[in-house]
This record gives sequence, C-alpha cells and structure tokens, in this order.
Amino acid sequence: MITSESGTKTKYMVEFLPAGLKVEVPGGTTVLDAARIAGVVIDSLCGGDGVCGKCRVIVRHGIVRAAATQSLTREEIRQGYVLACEARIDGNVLIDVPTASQVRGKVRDADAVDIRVRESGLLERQRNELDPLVKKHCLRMEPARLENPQSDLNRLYHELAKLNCREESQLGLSVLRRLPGVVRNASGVVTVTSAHRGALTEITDIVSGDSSNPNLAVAVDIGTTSVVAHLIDVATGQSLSSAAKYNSQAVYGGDVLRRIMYCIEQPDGLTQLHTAVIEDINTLIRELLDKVQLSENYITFVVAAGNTTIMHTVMGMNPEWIRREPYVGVSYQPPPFRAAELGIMIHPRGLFYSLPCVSSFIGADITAGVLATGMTQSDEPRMLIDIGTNGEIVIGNKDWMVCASASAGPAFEGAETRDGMRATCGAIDHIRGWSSGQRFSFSTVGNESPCGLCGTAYVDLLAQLLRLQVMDKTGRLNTGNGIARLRKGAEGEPEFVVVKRGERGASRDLVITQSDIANLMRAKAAVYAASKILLTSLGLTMSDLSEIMVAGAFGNFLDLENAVFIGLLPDVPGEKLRFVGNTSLVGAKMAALDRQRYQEARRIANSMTYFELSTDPRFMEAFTSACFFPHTNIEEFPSVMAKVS
Amino acid sequence: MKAQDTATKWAAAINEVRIGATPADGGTRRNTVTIGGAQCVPWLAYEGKTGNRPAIAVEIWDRGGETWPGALLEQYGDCVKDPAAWAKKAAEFGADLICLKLMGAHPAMGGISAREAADTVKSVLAAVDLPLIVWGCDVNERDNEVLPKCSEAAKGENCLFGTIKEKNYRTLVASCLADGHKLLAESPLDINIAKQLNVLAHDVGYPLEQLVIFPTTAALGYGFEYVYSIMERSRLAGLGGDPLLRQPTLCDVGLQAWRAKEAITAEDALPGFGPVGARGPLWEAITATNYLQAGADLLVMRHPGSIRLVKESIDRLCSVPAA
Repeated sequence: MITSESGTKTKYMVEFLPAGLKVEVPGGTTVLDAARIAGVVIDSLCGGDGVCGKCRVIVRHGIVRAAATQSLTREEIRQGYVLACEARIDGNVLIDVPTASQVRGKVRDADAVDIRVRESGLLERQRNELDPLVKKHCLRMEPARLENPQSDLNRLYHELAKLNCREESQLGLSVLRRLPGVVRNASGVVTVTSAHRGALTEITDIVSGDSSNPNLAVAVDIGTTSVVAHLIDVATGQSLSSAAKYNSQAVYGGDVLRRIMYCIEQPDGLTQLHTAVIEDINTLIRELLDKVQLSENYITFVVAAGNTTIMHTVMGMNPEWIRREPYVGVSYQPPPFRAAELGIMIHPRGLFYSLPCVSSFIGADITAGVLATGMTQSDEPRMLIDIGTNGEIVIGNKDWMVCASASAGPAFEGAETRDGMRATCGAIDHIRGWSSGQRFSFSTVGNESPCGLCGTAYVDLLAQLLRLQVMDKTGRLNTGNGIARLRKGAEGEPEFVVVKRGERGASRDLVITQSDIANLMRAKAAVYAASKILLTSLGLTMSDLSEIMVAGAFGNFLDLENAVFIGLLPDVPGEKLRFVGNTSLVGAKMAALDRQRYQEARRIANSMTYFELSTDPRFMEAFTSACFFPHTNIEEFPSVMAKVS
Repeated sequence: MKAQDTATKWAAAINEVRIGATPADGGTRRNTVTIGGAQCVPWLAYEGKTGNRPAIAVEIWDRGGETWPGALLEQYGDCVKDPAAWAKKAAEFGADLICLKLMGAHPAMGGISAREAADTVKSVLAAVDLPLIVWGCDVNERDNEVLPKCSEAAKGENCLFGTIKEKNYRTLVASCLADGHKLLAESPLDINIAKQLNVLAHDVGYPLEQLVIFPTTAALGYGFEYVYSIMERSRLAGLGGDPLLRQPTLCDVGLQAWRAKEAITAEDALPGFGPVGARGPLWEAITATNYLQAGADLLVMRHPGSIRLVKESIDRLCSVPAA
C-alpha cells in the first residue's frame, strides 16, 4: 500500500540496483512499495508487516526514515541495511537489493502485468471507487428489545441499509440458522459477507466479531497453455502476489480441440481435465498465499477468464458440442458458483465468478481483454490482437465489435519448440545484435544463466536470423554456406545454436530447429491472416485503425519493431502499436473490483459479432501468403521493404 | 456518336527477357529470342501492346529419348540417341529455341557425371545456333551438382537455366549470376510460392527482371483449368503492378500432353477415338493454344505437327492490329 503522510507530497527518485530500474514516488512511500511499482521483486513473506525480516536492502545514497527493528544487527545497520517494508522514502535514494533478498524462480510476466496496469492506467480510473463483487461489512447489531421486536434478519438488513447496502438480499438456510447465535455475541459486532449476483445480493456468510480485513480475491487467467493468477487485496485493489504455471491439461492435448476429443473418447476424460485445471488453480492459490503468509479463508472469491472450452472444463461442463456443428457450448455466461463445488480451495463459502464468453470459439479471455482495454469507450475503431494458443482478433469501437479466432499453436508461449520455456528465471527474453565475438548479446529473466527461450526472444531471434541471412524468408536455415553455429541436429534436422554451452553459464547448447521455425511461422501467419481477413470483411484497412493493441503470451515487453519485421504484427506507424500485456488477467481483476465492470463484461459478450474464419475460403489463401517473412505481399510491409532494400 | 472506350489501361507491362547471345553479345547464337513485354491481358490488342511473339522451344533429352511415345519416335527416329543430332532435327521442325532436359542426371536414368552433362551442353551448342534452355532432372542434389558445370560450359551464351524451386535455389542462382544466364523459377501451382521464390532469388542477388516463371503445366483434361486460373491471376497481378509477378511465363506443354492417354493410347484400346497418330499432335497443339490464351510467353513442345499448328495460331493472333 502506498502511504503518503500529510505534507509529504514531494516526489523523489528511487533507483534500484542491480536491476537499474528507477521510479518516482511520493515521500513517505515504503521502499517495498516503491520496488513493486518499479517492477523490482523483493522477498517479503509477511507482505510488509515488518515481522519477517526478509526484505533487507542496503541504502547506498540518500535518506530513508526507518523505525527501529530487531530484525537487523548493529553491524547490518552500520552497513546501511534497512527493512524495505519499514523504510520510508525521504529524498532521492539509491537502493541495493542484495541477492539474498531477490526472489528467485519467480515468474516475471505475472509481476509485469501489475506494473503495466499501473502504467497504462487500465485500472487507475477505478481505484477510488472500488465496488468489489464480494464485500465484507463489519457492523454492530442493535440488540433485540421489547420496544423494537424486529427479527434478527430484519435488524441485520437495517444495519446493512445504514452502510448503503440496499440491494435485495437473499441467503441460504444454513446461514440463516446460524444467525441468532452469531448476532448474540457479547459485543454485537458481526462481519457480513455479501456477494454480487446480478440484481440480487447474496449474504454468503455471517460471523461474530470483526473479520472484515483482509478481504482477498483471486483473479486468474486460464489459458490453453498457461495459467496466471493474482492475489488481490479487495480493500486497495492491489495485487499482493502473483504466480503462473503451465496448464496441466496439456498432457491430454496441446489445443482445445484435442482436449475436447479426449473428453469424448475417454470415459472419465472430462473429470481428468477438470481435476487437472482445478489442481493448477489450487496450486497457484497456495503459492499466492505462501508468498504473503495468509490463510485461504481470507479469499472470498475467484474471478476467472479463459477460452470457452477451458471454462467448460473448469466448471466440469461437457465441451463435446463445441466441436460439433452447430458448435454450441453448455453456457457462455454461467452464474457465480460456490468455489467449493468446483473443488477450488478458498473460503468454504467463497464464490467462483466466470467472465462471460461470446461463443464457442471466443472466450471470456477476449471479453476480459475488451473490458481491460476500454475498446467499448472509443469512437475510432481499434484492434486487439491476443496472441495465445488461439490467436484472437477483436476490432471495434463504442458502437460495434467484431471478433475472430485462429489456431496459432503455443510456440510463442514457449511450448512445442525445442528450447522454449515460459518467461521464468533463466529464460532468454531479448536477443540483441550479433556481436563481433560471433555470439548474440542477450538478456535473461532475473539475469540468471540462460536455460531456454521465451516468446519475446523468439521474435527477436527470427528477426536476427533474417538479418544475418542465416535463414531465408521462407524460414529455411541456410545450411549450404558453412555458417558457424548452423549444424545438423538429431535425425539430420538443421538447427542453429543460439547460445553455446558455457556461454554465460549455460549448461547446454540452446538451439532453434527447422521445425521450431515452422511452428513459429505458422503461429505468426495465423495471427496476421486472421486480422487481415477480419479487416477485409469490414471493408477496412490497417490504416483505418486508430490503435492496434497486442495482448497475450509474451512474457514481458515485446520488441515491436522485430515483431513487424517478421510479419507477426502489421506494419503501421510505431505510435499506433501498443503492447498491453495479459489483458485477460487485467479484465478479470477489473471485474473483481467493480460490479459495474462485471456487468459491462456481460454487455460486451452480448454485443460482439463472431466471424467464422475456418469456413472462409479467403482465410487459407491469406494464411499461405503470410507464411513468409514478413509476408508474400511485401508491399504490406513498407517499412520492412525500406530497411531490406 | 462515338462509342465509349471500355479498354482497361494496365499499370505495368510484363518484363521482356532476352535469351541467347550473338557473337556481338559475346556468344555464338545466330539470333536471340525475346519474350514477354505484354501491356494487356492476352491478345486484347485494343488495350495495349500484346508484346513479343510467343516463342516455341523444342524439347530434347540427353538420355532416355527412346522411351518417348511412338508418334514422336516416328518423327525423330534415331536422333533421340544423340542430343546434337536431335537438336538439329528440332531446329528443322521450326524451333525458336532448343530445350535440353538433362534426364541422364537422374539416378534412375544413369546418373551421369557433371562433366558428361556439360559436354552434352557443349555439343548441342555446337550443333545448332539457336538459343538454349538447359533443364535439370528434378532431383535437387543431382541438379546442384550437374547444373553449375553446365552453366560454366555455356558461359556467355545467355541460356535459360532451370529450375530453381522454393526449397532449392541458392546453387543455381549463384551459377547463373556468375555465368550470365537467365533463370526459370518453378512453383507448384501456387501464386504465393511463385512470388516467394522470386523474392528468395532476389534476396540472394538475382535481378527480378531476368526471371522467367514456370507455374507448373497440366495437359488438357488433366487440370488445365486450374493452371489457367493460376496463370490468369498471376498475369492480372503483374499487369496491375506487382513486380514479383511481372515475369514472362513458360509452359512445359510437350511433356504433359504426351502423357495423356488420349494422346498415346492406341485406337483398339480406345474405340471411337480415331487414329492415335493424329490424336497426339492435336492434344499437344490444343493444350498449347489454350495456354497462349492464358498468357504463355514460351511453350516447350515436341511434335513437328503440333508445332506447325501452334505457329499458325500465333500468326493469326499476332496479325490483329493494335489499337
């Protein structure tokens, strides 16, 4: 939580070593908060309560104010150590985060989401007016008296009305039966949990005493390949922790159609898929809670976004009819359920909210994306490209919204390539020029020794291989010319060694193979072709769009120039392209914190028009011409044409 | 009252590509052949110049000619055993160019050495003074071994060498750049790959203006319509200004026409089809004249009878006065 004391509005610059990241914050902000804003991850188990002593940092220059603590020795204090959660900024400072306080093995993309959200202002606008889906109210009940013989429930409603909670309420029999015992405690203080259910509010729980804080929520983006979750403090709207992992359903099929087939062919296939993804969600929730040392009982709800098939499997609904003509699902806008019914381990009375899907092939992740980017608010048409295992494209403005979906495969998510990985510690995330030392200069997540490549690195790598003419525009590695680092791998397949064993501590050679390139080519071609056909169907061109927003799989910041150079993104002026990160997660988070947003997501889902590409004969043609770097119709990439010639 | 002019004016013309080199150019050919140059869709002379007269290259093989259908062997006789003699015969039959296919390089046809192939090229160049097309055996590894030597042997003669393909182009491009030959770019009935291959050749330094494209040919009755529509789309794109599809087009008619059962099956097996001796040349001639309508600039043919018929067609097409 960013705290600023009265009279300390002055802003100061805080720089963190060794990352070199800078951030400007108001005086009085804790170093831990400043670090979060800057995107520097400092280990903290207690979430900033000053009790765990893990968040030790060294003040190299400048002044911080810190209360006395028993967690530091006299010697450490002399060296400049402070606890990041206790120390408050009181001037420009340079902070060194020692290795012991850096969090290892942490997924950076999930962290980055929160930072990007702040920067892009996607969430800012609603911070002041939080109206979360599930609220906890602490109130003092008037005892029943002879002169006011109102029933227990009526007196409770009366108190809720005083707090401006005037929605029509309902509650379950078990809660009602516990009511008399709960309200007759000595202090009269009770905590009421009320959950949004459209026009109704459900009182899901009533307990004695004040347990209104904390009230936590989990926002989760359930992708075909990856699952990312944030733990949110509902009172402040901030993410307390984040976690990500691969979707364990992958063993039953790499894409949604194969998973549906698995449900059809195996007698307990649906149960297996359901169990796998619920176990993933529970694993992430445990990890989120471990990081802040809080109990799952504080989590009152989960908001999830994902594609339609995945959401079916999460809820244990049979997705079989999604793949059979006329392609309909069981429900695209399911009501909230008890999380416990799905096997999700949060508060026993907690709820599970699913964001609404549009159709069998346009899921809640896209509704969330539209919500997060505010597309429904703009006059000019804008495009949202979500690059995941399915590439989804939305074009629209405040009056209309169309969408399409194309199977891209998980190559840009670091799956189905030889040395691909998620953007976790040790993943190469950016590849810069080919240095005179005959090697690439590159960066890795966490500055660790390289152990694989994530999506952004593949975008850079393809562009570099083209520039070095190691690969031709069809993606074929140029094996003929005795180029160093190009070799025949297993089964004679050509491969290029990106990082040699031993280079910056790599434990083995990291390569890109000919079939990796083919997978990446297909992924980028599907995305581009889908956006092209959708535009053509609307009678628009790229230049009619005021903005093209790129969301999805890419762990951190995508090099937009390289993405255009390989033809993944359309060649429009740089200021029109914006990388918006994991909008599925951001949208889920926005809906979690604001009931109106949750309702808006439903309106978005209802108003979106779906274009079926698989039956459009132009799609295959557009796909084939996009299977070339950057594109067979090079004139669609004028800036690349200029650079090449 | 004046009728409204409905002629389409096209943005660009098809490239002109010259094959062969006279002594003045540093070669030994009597004349050169220039193809392409059309400024309109095929034969709509009122829209623009129809370009250079389509040329006919007569096909000969270095080896395996004796496997050709009987109707062709009747015409060429023992010449099919000697490429030089065969080339002379082809010249007599009215060839504008000779198209030498190095079938002998194919492992199934003997797998001749690069030196042998180069000697054959030299002997054909010595036997006739027509411009030459040199075509590989369609096995990439062998072509990459044999064609560079042939290119070197024919240096200065400005031949048309083929074919480069999407997955095998670097070696031949390098040779033809070094030895000054034109290149034939082959794509498998796919307009995207046709464009991509041109880009690939261009990326390794070959000028787009010196390419001839071969979009794959089918005989009448064996997918002709499909090829026609591909050629038509390609031509419309080229005339519309796409520099990657502005190349003149070659059609390999003889090979395909003489595989059609209508061209080669004896009358007793196909009752009512008429004498096979007349059917073969007609099948080849009709296939070829149809390709003229699709925009073919260079036809590879076999039978003297069909060559004569197609030449007459070309005469008539070229006699339409320009607007």
